[in-house]
Amino acid sequence: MLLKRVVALAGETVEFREGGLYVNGILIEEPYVRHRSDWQLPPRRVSPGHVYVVGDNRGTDSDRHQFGEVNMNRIVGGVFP
Amino acid sequence: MSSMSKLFLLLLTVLLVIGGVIFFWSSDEKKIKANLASLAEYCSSTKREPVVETLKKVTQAAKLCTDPCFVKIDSINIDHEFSPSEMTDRFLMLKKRLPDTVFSFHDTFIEVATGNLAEVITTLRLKGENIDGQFTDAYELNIVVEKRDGDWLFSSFSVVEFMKK
Repeated sequence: MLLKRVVALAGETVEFREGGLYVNGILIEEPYVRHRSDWQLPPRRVSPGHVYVVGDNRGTDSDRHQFGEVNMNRIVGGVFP
Repeated sequence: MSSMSKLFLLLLTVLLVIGGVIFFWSSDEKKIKANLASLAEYCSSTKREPVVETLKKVTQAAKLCTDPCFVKIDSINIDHEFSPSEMTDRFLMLKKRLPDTVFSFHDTFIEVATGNLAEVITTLRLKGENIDGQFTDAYELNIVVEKRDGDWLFSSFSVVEFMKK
């Protein structure tokens, strides 16, 4: 079971520029991120029935970190703040 | 023999059969969990792990796997069987790449499908330190375990790629 943060919903566009997360072209402030990355990821639209998830700990290379679009059927629960 | 005695014997037999099934099923599950714990220990490394210790651990890790053992990791284009010596080399490469990392398995679900075959769904968690500092990582794994000569051995590892970047 993985614990990830939902950063974009179906139909939204998500991308990384020098580690900064952009959703629908807008830079998202992420004070919760530990170990900032320099990830580069071209824009992609989240498919219907899916959400885009990323972990807060981004100290590893993007090819080693598990993040991306995931089917909502695989989500088993949320986290209470 | 009275009908009460017959009923008692029947109940006792049924209870013994059920108890036996539960005992043997849970002992299989315990053995598989113990092997997973051993595998995690052998793959884990400390910063100053002696070379002899590393070589001993990778050899022991490979001994937990069948000959051959199938490995599937789409993200690095691995999708084939490995001999025991190749598995030893892979474990050594893994430990070299992650020299100060603790491996652990969590949320482990084991289903003993038949007497000699079991499927495991588990989360592999890595916690360690590299040149960028501390890191944690997690991967969902599907593992097939086969019982050979009384030992449960890992015959297949597949990393579940359910996220599309």
